[in-house]
Amino acid sequence: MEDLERLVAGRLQALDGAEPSEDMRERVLGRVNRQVVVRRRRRRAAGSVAGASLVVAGGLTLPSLLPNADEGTAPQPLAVASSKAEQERGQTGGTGPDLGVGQRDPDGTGGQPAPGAAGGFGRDLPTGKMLTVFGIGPDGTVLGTGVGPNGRSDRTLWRTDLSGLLGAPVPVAKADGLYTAAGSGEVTVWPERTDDGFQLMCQGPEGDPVQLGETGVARRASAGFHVDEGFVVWTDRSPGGKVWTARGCADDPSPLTEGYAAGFSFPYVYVLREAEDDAGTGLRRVDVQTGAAEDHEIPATTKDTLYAAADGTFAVADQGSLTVYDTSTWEPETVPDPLPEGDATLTAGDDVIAYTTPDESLVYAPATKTTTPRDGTSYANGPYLLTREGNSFTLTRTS
Amino acid sequence: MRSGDPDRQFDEFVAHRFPALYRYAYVLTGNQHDAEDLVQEALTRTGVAWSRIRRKDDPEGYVRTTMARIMANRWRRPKLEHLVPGVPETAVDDPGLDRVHEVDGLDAALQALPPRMRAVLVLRYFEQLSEEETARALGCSRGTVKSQASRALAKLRAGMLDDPERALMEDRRGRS
Repeated sequence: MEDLERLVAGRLQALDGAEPSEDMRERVLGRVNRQVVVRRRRRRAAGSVAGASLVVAGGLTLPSLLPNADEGTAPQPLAVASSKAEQERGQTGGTGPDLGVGQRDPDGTGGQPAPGAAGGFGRDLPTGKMLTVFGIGPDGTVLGTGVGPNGRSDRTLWRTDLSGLLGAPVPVAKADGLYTAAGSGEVTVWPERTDDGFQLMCQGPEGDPVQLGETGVARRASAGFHVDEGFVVWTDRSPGGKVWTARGCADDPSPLTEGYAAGFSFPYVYVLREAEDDAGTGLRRVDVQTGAAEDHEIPATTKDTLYAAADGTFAVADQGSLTVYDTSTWEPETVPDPLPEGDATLTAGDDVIAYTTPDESLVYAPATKTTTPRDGTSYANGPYLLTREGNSFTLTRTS
Repeated sequence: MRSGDPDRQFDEFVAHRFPALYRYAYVLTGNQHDAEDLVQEALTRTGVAWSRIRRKDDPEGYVRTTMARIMANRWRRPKLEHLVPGVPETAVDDPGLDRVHEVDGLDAALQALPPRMRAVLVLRYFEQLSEEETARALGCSRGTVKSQASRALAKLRAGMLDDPERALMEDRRGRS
């Protein structure tokens, strides 16, 4: 052992004599007992509440990393609401410890969580890494990978969902080159690196993962693969791209059309195609069940442009600006707020669109044309919005 | 620990082992406030999972590992406070002061380490665990432990020299 190592050992051993005062002991043990009761109750609630019925009444609450560490200054709920009344409701929590279930315990003794409230989960993974979310599914499924302090991935796909939301994410698969994933309760898909690119892997509710298709999957921002209502839609690696679809993992893939699948909100696949002139980008909307298609054109985009589709909405983020199309009229709405800078992900839900970088995000509600800038990441899909602040994730039902 | 009311067993375990667990939290964090938070969170997690943990032979080991992992995974948490060496007083030529300054600088440098690095040092040099055992305890690779320990020691060396008093001392030493 070197001198410095010996010195370090000595200084650490010198700290080993700190005795807790009786006051502190009482205080800490009191908190431990209360928190054990609260968390056990949350676990039971999470296990017994059916996923689809989870609703947050009002805003989000953001559980702290160490509950009770600072009871008086717990973060206030952030409202993602469509009206002033909803926003006001979202900010009416008590001052007691955050139960992480959308309500606060007014007296700090651990009240019964309200039925229908959702909760959050921590970022720590059993591997010692931190969960970095790829996105969420339309049923609130959360998928991500573990990343260490040096930015190195654990090559593991982690997943949690509403049935286990208050528990830690569980590993689904290991894959080389894992850079994103998509899924829901029925189907999870992710890319796996091969000698000549990436192939798409699929995991159903049972059995082992299977490879989807023989022609790989394109690695292109927003235009790789999507899952909704049990259907998988993806772009293969052929020149110019070809869009395929399969119902679940066991179905034989079917070719849908040429181009890149920029978004999928059942039953519509939004496919990028070459426009007739250089000034625009062709966009074909195809019904995944019937194959019926209609063509549109949007302003010219690039390979770095991000896209996201939701029910009645198609969003495009390009050069620092977010444009949202109403797919019944194809009228564009450009969001005036600038987008956060950095590598980004664009996701769309029924009520909100979320543009997120690793550090900050912008949540846009088309119905009210309001934006909410946030510290931390945000992801939307279906009726859900997942947000992270610090090391805490919160899933909220937006409608 | 293998029979009886689980909640009562947990209470007894906590009552009996709290001082030792708090001391370990203090070694891991280096200050009372964070030690309180750490031991509280680790005991809460243990209490929630007590029905499973009590069947194991070493619940205290579980709590200690939990504390080390919580600490190691706090690497992105912003550090709001740093303990710093005391305000320098007028320098006097006293050989005994060198040792005091060295310790002051080291304590400050230890306190400034990222939590993950500090956790690695505690396991390696306080608990005297091997690199393999440390990796197992923290749920990371041996390479990570090795690199974290190496970087931590390098930071400590640099931190000791960055300390103004320490630098002054080195300067004095160089001129004498």
